[in-house]
Amino acid sequence: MAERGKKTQKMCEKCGKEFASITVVQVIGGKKKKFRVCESCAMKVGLEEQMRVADIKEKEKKRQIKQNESKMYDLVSKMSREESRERKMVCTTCGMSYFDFKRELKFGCPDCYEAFKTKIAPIIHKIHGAYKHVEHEEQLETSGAMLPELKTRLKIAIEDEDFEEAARLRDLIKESRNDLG
Amino acid sequence: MIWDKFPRDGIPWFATNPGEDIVLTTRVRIARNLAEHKFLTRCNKREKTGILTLVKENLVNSPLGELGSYHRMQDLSSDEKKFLVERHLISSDLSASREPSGVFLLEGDHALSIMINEEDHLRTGSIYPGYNLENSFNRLKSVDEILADYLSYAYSSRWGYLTACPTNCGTAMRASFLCHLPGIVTLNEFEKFREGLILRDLSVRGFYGEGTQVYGNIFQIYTNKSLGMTQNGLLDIAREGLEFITGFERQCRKKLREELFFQMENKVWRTVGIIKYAKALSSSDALKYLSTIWLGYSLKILMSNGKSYFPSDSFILVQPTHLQLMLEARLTSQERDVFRAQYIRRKLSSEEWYKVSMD
Repeated sequence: MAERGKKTQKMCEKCGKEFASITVVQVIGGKKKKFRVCESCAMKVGLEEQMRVADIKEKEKKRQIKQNESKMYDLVSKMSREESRERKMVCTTCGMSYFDFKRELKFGCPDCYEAFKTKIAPIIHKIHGAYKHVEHEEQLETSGAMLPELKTRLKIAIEDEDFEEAARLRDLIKESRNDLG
Repeated sequence: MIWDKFPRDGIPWFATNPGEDIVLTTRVRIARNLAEHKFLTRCNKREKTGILTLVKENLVNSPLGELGSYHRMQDLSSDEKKFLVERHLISSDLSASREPSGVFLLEGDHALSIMINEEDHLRTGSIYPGYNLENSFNRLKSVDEILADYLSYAYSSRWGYLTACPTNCGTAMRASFLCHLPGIVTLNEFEKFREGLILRDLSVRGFYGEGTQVYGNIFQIYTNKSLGMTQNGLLDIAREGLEFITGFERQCRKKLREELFFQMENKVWRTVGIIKYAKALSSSDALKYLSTIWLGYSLKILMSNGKSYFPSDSFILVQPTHLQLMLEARLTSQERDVFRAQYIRRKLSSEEWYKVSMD
């Protein structure tokens, strides 16, 4: 019995000194690997495995940090690019830059309105709900203040098949949108 | 002295009509800047002086010149400045300014002022008692039209009148009301009320404008948009807003009368006791009690003797600088509080209810 037992029982594949009593299955790089090892080597293999996993996690973490760093760097450089753009956007009459305006929230001179036109149009719309000054009542429809209402009226006109009115409204909407730029 | 020209014991532009127990004053103001000139944010002292002189010269030479008086801010004493702030004729910003600036005061009812070099080159404001949008606007408009012949303003067809702050461009006009709202405050409805104001393009702030406190349940409510509407469109917003304000407050007062009458009666008569017997009253206490007494009229707890009505200009007259000027003496704050208590007693002692003794 002992003879036969010795024949079937393999020696540990790691140390070769003890009988192998445990089968360890490792998956490395998608490939399965089987080891027949003794008890003490099995502990070591397990430990190694844990270390290996921890190592991978560590590397992954480092990679992510690096990625975040570069994302942040991108953002900062984008911001500073934006800032330098805003610093370069200068009103030639008074020398105020758009960057200055953003800090002070007051313009330097009447010409600033024109100099920062593209930037301030949406801000002014947010404040007043309109894009354009209305001196007389007739200008009201194209001021942008009535854009939502014009759209509703257009929809109703189309539903009522009042195409003449619809065309007029379409042109009005187009006109008030043209002024946005 | 600037106040020599002002009537001492009353303010003509303050609501003193029996029916006007919510809106104290209506004020409309416009902002204007000179064309071809930088805004004040980018002007040095010399340029500011230049603008001040230019505006002053033209103002004085215009038909307006004879109707009022111009004052350089730096020539006014700190009491004079405080007095004008208490009268809502200049802003506290202008009174604190150390830069070259000035004010033009229309004489007569002293209800129109032109501030020069405040946030914009010109800020013209016109005040009327009670709810008086049309008169207030018309007077402002006529002054603006006179000045437009003498000064050329920064204007673009797209943005309207160009102002230092983009919140004012367009008509550069704003209407505001001083409103007494004790009902809304007592019933804790203020948040709901404010939401309603926001929907109607109105904002609310304290007694003396931006960043100031609310005294005596008096709020300044003003239109907060100026672009994308005509001047008349803006007046419509103010008009509709006012309907909402008075409707809301009246409803609250009705509820107080119908559901909390006893509590209100108790509160009002207790306040009568304080007014009658207080040795000294601080400014904020005085305004609080005046508000309660006034509410007492509106809830028909205190009866007016028919001829008189609640002297609502007391809200202004009990302010520190006003009291000081009435006595023509420098007072310590305690002396002022004592005088304030006496002054309010004197103002109210002719009222019927004041003579009633409770058993």
